Amino acid sequence: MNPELLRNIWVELTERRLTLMIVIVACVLLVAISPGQWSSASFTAELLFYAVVVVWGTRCAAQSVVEEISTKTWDSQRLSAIRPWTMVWGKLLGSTMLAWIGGIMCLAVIMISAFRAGGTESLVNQTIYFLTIGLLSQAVALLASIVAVRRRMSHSRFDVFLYQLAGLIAALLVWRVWQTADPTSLFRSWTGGIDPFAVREVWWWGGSFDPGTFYVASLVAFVFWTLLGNYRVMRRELQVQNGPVVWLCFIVFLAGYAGGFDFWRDYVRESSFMIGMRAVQAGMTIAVVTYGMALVEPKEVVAYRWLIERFKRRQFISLLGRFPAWGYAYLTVVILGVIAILMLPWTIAEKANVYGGPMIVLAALGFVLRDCAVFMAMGLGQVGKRSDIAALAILALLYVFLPGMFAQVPGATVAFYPSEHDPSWLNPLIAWTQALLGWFLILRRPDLRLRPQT
Amino acid sequence: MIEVRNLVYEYPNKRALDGVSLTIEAGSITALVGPNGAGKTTLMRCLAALEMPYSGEVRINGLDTRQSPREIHENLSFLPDFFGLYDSLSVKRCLTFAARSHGLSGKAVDIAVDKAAERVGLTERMKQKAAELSRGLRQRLAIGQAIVHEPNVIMLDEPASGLDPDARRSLSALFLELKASGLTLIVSSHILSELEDYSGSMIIIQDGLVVGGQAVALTENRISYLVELAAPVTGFDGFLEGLPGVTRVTSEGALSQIWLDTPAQRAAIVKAIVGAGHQLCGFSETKRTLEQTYLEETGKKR
Repeated sequence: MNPELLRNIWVELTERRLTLMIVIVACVLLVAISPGQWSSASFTAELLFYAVVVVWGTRCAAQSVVEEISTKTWDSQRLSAIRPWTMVWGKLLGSTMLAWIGGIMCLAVIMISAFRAGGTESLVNQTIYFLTIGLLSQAVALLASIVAVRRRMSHSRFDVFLYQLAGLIAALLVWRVWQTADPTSLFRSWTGGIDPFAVREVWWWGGSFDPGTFYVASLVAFVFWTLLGNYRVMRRELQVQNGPVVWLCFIVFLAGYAGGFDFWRDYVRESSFMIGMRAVQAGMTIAVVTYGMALVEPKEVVAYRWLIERFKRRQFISLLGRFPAWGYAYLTVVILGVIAILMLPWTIAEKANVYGGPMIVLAALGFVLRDCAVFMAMGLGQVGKRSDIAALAILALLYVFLPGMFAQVPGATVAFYPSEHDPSWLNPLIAWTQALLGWFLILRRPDLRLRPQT
Repeated sequence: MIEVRNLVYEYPNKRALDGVSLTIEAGSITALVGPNGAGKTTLMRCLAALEMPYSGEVRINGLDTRQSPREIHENLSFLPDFFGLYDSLSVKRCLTFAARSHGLSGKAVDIAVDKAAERVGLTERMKQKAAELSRGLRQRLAIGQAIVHEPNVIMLDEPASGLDPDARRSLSALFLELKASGLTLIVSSHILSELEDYSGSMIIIQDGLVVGGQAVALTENRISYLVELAAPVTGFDGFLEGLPGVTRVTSEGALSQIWLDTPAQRAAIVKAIVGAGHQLCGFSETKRTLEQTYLEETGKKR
């Protein structure tokens, strides 16, 4: 048996806690079922499932590694022979085991109700949805906590809440998207049957899909990637080096997934324009990933000094092996941006609802690189949330406050974010000047200079 | 065997280890000493593959810490200065988890747990929770966890801090027992007299470097003899050097210090000195303390 799972069973599944969980959940479900109305019983079971598995489960998952650090047992775990994948499963299932016992009891009621209402298909979809939303939210919370551990951040109760919040946000997004496909959803029961984002079919890579099936497949894929993310971060924490291949595969998957949605099929017919728009969609998604990674990845001065040394020594294989994840994501954005620039038409006057022309894409690439420089300038050598908050504050200044202050100045927005302007080359020129200047200043930091060996 | 070549470890504003190279033989006990902030703990963490060096190479029994960290972790233990225990678990469960997490399974776990508990003297307390143990017993449990899987290498950072004299003595005995069973031990401590009881060599770390460039053997030349004459005699040094079994001589006035191949030669030496007509006033054994060696070695550097 997985030793970490066994240890968690010893710690978590005490007789008292187990009895308490079973009795409380059983009482609530029995009260809900007793009138014989399965739909209302299912409603109660769903709410209880979210409370126990998602809300409490994410808390347990977020605490699992952090608690080891505060009790100073993490180093002994890092020094064990437990493999990264075993450690991830041991922590994820072990810490949330009690929550899952309550959750499975709720799921039984949900499954019976789903089968009575919609037969086997509904039963399968609902079961997969509830299992994956629970697993996904907990895995995201665990991932957030291990990333924070990698960044050597402090771990107060508020910090643990932030890691839990990451899981809760993931669950909320999944829940909201799921509601758009369900005519009998909780959301619609609250809004009188109205959902502005309701979908009857999903158009993806030219094909039409049933939303329920598409969402279930997407959920399973994202749970897989989240677990793989946990595994990779755990590997690093256990001192095993990660190559870039898996990360690149994820980026390619995400680009393919995001670029596949045919939002423009009613407006765009030309295949080159369609390719350009797909590249823009994919590029914007990967740009979000770039921002996310630039924010959360450890920005250790020594690691960047090491990269600079590899570059100077022309040891490019070593360099690429430890190149930051945000760097790979940004390079992908550049490739997608170049595709968009080549494929999008230069004149857009007669095109409706188009993101913008190639010059705006070129400017966007510059602004993303500038923003990465902001994250780097604020985060290099810093530990904790302050550097993150400072970087986000500067971005808020650049994207919200300064453009607001200069709103009366015609064309002032070109200095802050991608926007149309005449002449069209001005926006990219300003963006790239800021980006290059930012990176020039970062690379001249004294703490990034190489030290001679004595 | 532990081999370190040009190990460099950097913090953002400081180079903690600056090209450390050393070799530690298998089945030895090595004391790791040096002032606070010298880089001892960083070196231990690099040896334990808990930190990746900036450059250089660390090999534990032929395995590179960069290439095979988990394989190294499987056969190595590191007990840090500030360690933690699973307080809600019993002593038996703590040891069982440690054994299982190092790859033991089935009956081997129970055998290893019982053996480790016996070695650290916790057999009678197997059902007691870790939280209920005193500081000394917690230390023993931590050491028990570190040795339960019988690693090849064990590193201990300040293992005796907070222990009473009796517990320290039994800890020294345990280290010697572990060494006898073939383990390689590296022990870091500020209390040099404590290291003296069991260490065979010493590595002095100062400003991120190994003083003298290598480990200092403590067993060799450790015991010497003081020869005191009634008055200084010219050429007495040469006389002593010519005696069979004498390996080294230093003199100052009427007092000479000699090192012998074996202590059994003492009687013959005394007989030869007296037989040659020298007025021998005293002949006594002297032991160079670890502290003296430490001061001598660090003094050489200065």
